[in-house]
Amino acid sequence: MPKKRDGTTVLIADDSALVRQEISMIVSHLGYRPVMVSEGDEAIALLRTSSFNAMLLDVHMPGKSGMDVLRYLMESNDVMPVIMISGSGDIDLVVQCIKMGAYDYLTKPVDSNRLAVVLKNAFSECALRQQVRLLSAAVDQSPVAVVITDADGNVEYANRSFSSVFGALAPDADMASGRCDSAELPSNIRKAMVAGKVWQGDFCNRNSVGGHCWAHAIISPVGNKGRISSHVLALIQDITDVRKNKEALLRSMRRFRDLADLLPQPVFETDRKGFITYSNRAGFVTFGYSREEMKKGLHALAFFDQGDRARVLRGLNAKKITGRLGSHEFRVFKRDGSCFPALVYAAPISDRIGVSGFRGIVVDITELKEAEQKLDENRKKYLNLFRAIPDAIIVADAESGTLVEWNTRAERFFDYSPEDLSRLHVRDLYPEELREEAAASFISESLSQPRMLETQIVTGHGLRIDVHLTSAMFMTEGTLWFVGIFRDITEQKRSERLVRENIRMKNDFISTVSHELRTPLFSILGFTGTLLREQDELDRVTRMEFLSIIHDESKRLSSLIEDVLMISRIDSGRVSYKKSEIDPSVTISEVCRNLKIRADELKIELHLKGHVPSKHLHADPDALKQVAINIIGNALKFTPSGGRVDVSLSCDEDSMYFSVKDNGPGIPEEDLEKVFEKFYRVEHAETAVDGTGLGLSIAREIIEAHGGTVTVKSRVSEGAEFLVRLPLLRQSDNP
Amino acid sequence: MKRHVILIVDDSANIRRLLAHNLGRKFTVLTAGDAAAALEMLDSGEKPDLIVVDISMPGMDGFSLTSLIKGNPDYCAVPLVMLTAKDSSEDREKGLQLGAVDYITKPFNLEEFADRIGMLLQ
Repeated sequence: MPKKRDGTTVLIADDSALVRQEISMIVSHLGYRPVMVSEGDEAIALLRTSSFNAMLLDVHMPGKSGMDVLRYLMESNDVMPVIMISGSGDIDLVVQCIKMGAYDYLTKPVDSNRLAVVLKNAFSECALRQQVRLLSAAVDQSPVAVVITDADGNVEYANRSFSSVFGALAPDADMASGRCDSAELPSNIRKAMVAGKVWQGDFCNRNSVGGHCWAHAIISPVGNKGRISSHVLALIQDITDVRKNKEALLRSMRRFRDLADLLPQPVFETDRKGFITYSNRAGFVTFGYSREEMKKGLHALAFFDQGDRARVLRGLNAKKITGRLGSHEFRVFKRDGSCFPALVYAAPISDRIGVSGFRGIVVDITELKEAEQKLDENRKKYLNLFRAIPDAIIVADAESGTLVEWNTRAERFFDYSPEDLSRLHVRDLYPEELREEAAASFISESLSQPRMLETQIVTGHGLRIDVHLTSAMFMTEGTLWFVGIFRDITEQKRSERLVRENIRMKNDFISTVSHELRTPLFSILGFTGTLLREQDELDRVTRMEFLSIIHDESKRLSSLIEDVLMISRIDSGRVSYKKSEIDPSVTISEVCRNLKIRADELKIELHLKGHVPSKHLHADPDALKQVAINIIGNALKFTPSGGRVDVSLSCDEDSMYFSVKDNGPGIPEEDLEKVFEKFYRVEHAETAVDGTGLGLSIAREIIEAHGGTVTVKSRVSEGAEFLVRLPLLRQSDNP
Repeated sequence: MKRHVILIVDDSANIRRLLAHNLGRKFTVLTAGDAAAALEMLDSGEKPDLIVVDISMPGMDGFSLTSLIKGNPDYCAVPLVMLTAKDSSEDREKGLQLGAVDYITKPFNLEEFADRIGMLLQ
């Protein structure tokens, strides 16, 4: 007998200590571990907590008998083999125990050999029993439907799952008879089953609610008598959900591929090394590659410029880490070598083991780029235009009044740096007293009507400038802007003032002329009227007196008219001088001789000093005579009786000088320049002076037309000196 | 019947001579070449019945002379006629405001002028 000790335990229940000892020794000797109890209750208590490989159970025990213990074991479904021990006279009880489920029995005194055989058999049967139990439980509880039919297809066994699978497939089917609701399916299964071959496949049937159900079946013939197969085994699994999921997945894939093909932009996928694994239709069309070329191996970097590849890889590596979608602008190349600007959006494809590749989309931005460029050119054009405008233009935010834009001219015009301008409010451009008004009118600007006005601005350095302002409002992107165009009208204002001044002077001139003409005219009219009326009463002397007055006044009127006409000719530029080579001293001494008579009448000493020996002028003799008459005549007019007027001539290399000096009342300093103005007369309380008031003005015009100058020096009550300089005819000019 | 005395103040000798001759047939005429001479005559005791004053004269003009005469209680009652070559309503207004009884613009008809003065004296 083997003496090895293994973990096999045998429970011995007997009320006789002797028998327990005896059996225990045999069991130990057989290599098993004995555990002993003396009562039935004790045995049950122990069996509740421990398990044993076999039990030797005395039929008769006080308290719970062996039969009671056996009943307990059977009821608790214990598979442990129970060997009853009985006396020789208890055969009926033993038979009853065997019926109840005891494995065998031994009679006292226990024979050790018999015990060894019984235990060995019990152990092996117990193992077998356990195996069968496990197998049948496995088959019965398997989630896979198991069905066994005979060779004709009649179901001999079906596990629990079978009914649940087929119940779902065909709730009305009578599985045992093989009749199913669907005619095709059972016949297929049956056909497969009765074919006697191993078969595997899916089948479909309509379910109770009209949908489709799918099952996967493995059919194989089984034989329990040698090699002849007497039965057919089918393992059937409900794969409806799997099929549904798979179909849904396929549909979804197809949908995405279809959608991708509809996209006008190329869409691609690569493997982890960067080789293109997928492209939509637009990808092939755009880049000009074929599907075959892609399959042969087409690397994504081939689409990029050599210089861009490092950037592409950097971008992709960054994405590998962060997994975020990004975009980059690149030039991408077609198969034929041409390229276009594009935005390439790419994202990593992740699976369980990490990044398995990339997918992305290529957006052609050629048109966008062109539009952008055009827009930029346009913007530049208008900016240059804006800058080139010679008027100062400013744009302000209509709400806040802050300046936001201006042209270069505005910076210079307002004399501010760009930084200063950006901090200014529109009203800061106006002088202090106009600011309120400017701010008010700024608010009242209307969108539709540009406004024009003349106003004044003040520069950064406090200079006031007259401007013509055109202002308007316009709206862009929901913001209201004010635009002001400032035009410097200083010049315009000045010329307007000049024109007004000219008109005023002309009016004064006309009014003065008419006044000057009226006085002699009134005399002439009065005396001629008197002569006509009283021709018989008047004596000869009176008649002569009146006639000579009429003559004088007529001469005065005539010279007045001559002067006025002269001035008018000079003013309109219509005067022409008949220049010839003349000796100025001859002309001037002639004038002096003529005026000597008048000087004598006025009791004024008139002296001519110095002469210009054979010096020649290129001048109009009548004009020069007029200059001399006007200037000397002027001196005589303003010199009181008893005074003197000195006329002197001198010369140097280039010029001759003609000076007229009197000892009259002189001219106040502030009036010195005005003496040459038309109709100007220095106001003197004492002296009464008649004349046209045009003499000096005419003289200056003539002198200047001959390339000369005339100046006056004077101090009040010290007389005045007029100095005329005229250029001499040069030797080289001599014919 | 006593002849009325007329004082003529004008800077133009020819005008003075013309007016003196024409008015001289009806009135006794005194003349002065400027405002100063006229005032001197008045101060020296001349008592004209009417004064004719030219507005534009060198030195003191006719307006100033008029206001001086009108401001002096000794002569303010003497009627004063203004004479001018300037035909402006402003000057006319100014002259009448200062107290002139008439304002006559040159040129004018001498006979009518004499008649007008005769009427003013009545």
